[in-house]
Amino acid sequence: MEKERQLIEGCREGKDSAREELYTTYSKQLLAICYRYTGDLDTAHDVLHDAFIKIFTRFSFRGESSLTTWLCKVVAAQSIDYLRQQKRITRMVTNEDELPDIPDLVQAPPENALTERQLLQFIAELPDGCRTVFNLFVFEHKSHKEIAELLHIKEHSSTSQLHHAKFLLANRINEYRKNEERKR
Amino acid sequence: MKKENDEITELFRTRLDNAEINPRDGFWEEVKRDIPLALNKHRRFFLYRTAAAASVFIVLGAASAAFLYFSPKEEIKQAFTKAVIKSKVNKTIVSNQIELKNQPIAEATSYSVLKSSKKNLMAVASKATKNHSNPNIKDTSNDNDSVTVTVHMSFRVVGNSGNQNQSTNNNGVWQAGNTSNVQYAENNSSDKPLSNNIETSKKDKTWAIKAALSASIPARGTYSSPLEASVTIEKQINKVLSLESGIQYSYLHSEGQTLNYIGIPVKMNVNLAKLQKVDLYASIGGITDKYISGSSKKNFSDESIQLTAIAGLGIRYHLNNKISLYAEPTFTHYFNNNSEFTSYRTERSNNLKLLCGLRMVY
Repeated sequence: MEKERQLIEGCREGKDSAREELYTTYSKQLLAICYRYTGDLDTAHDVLHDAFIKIFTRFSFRGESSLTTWLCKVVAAQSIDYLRQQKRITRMVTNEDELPDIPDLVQAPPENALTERQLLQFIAELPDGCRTVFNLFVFEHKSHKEIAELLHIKEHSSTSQLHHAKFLLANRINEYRKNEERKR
Repeated sequence: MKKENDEITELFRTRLDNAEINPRDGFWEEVKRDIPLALNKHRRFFLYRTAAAASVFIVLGAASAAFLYFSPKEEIKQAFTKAVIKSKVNKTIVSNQIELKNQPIAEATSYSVLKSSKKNLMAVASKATKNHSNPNIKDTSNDNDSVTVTVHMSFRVVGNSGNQNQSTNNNGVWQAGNTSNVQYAENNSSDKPLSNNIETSKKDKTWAIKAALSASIPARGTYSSPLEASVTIEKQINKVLSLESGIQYSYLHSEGQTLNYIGIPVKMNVNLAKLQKVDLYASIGGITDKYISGSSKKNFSDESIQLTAIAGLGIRYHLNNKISLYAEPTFTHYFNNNSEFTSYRTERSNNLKLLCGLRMVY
């Protein structure tokens, strides 16, 4: 705790050593978040670069939450801004009655458990709109109302995009597990 | 009925909440190198912003000072154009001749009145010499003594509405007065230019130009209070009603989205009360808005025309005869235009806004 406080003070004062320590401690976790949102590793690096510049030039952490939570929020906001600028949050209006059922997941033995990298890959493969809503709902714990406000879409559009994301992910996981089963 | 699957949510949430990916080699060096550049840019931006704010403050201050400095002069000028024109005339009659020594106080135009009525004055003097009623007049026709008659005359030309009845009642006859209460002088053809000028100044100013800024109550969430700027022309139809229309720009900002609209407001204003310097009025009308730019997800044609109904009360404070300040608390209702996107207008379809501006009649 004391170490974190010194780290925060050091970053506020603009000390290079504190900045480097913060980078070393959190960059891996923050890069994974950027990758989850952008779906591309090079782009994720670019977004993380801009996020670190913003963090170090305007270190506005006030201690309302933990440093980790604050950093994750800054990086997620930077990722959403990037997607907005690139016009990658596209329109998707689907009638809720037309949405397909999400299939049950095929059970796999523990030794065939999906790796973190594999799961991140599945998210990266989602369309931009579905991926953004899925990230906000699952990892940022946002409600559909909050997502709708944040992305300037209708609430039912957020619901349908999440449903579509889950449908695609369930199919992808089942397909992957069936392939692994066949290889055995 | 669709089937949800929370197993997916749970799987990803538990497995990826603390997922990590190693950054590429040399990534920290890239970030470290760019920090000083970004800091300089940030400082420059702060300086520009401060300079811009200071400039706006100076310009506003200078404009206010100029306005305060020039405004009273304008009033005085108008007062001279519209109100009483006086002149004082000394006349000397030598051997049945009248010499006019004109000492105009006000405008040169008054001189033309005097000049045109010279003949009448001569008649007055002639009458005076005949009846010898005035002790200041001595008749020199019968003897060689010189006689001097001094007549002080003042002309009153009425241009303001308060004395309009008097002018009308005189049926186009100018009122002339002197120390011996001589009160006639015909309004002959040479008076017409002056008469026209005065008639023009008597006409009510029925056109006005209005410039205003408005702000509304912010909606919940990320939507900021929309800002609107408008320039409108108002035409007074009669003493009670006036029509107003022009152009309006709307700026709707929310997190990550800025929408720009151009609209045409049309309003009817009803005068409720008129005090010495303050007018109260009500207004009702509508605005036709068209989205023009701003969103990364919308094109010009993506959103149909936005219709808005407005109704409000207004208060106007007259700084002088021409310029007044006004404020209009207004109720607005944004009609649903079936937009697929949320904005301030979809979140708060009924709202209150305060419109403040400057009005100039001409």
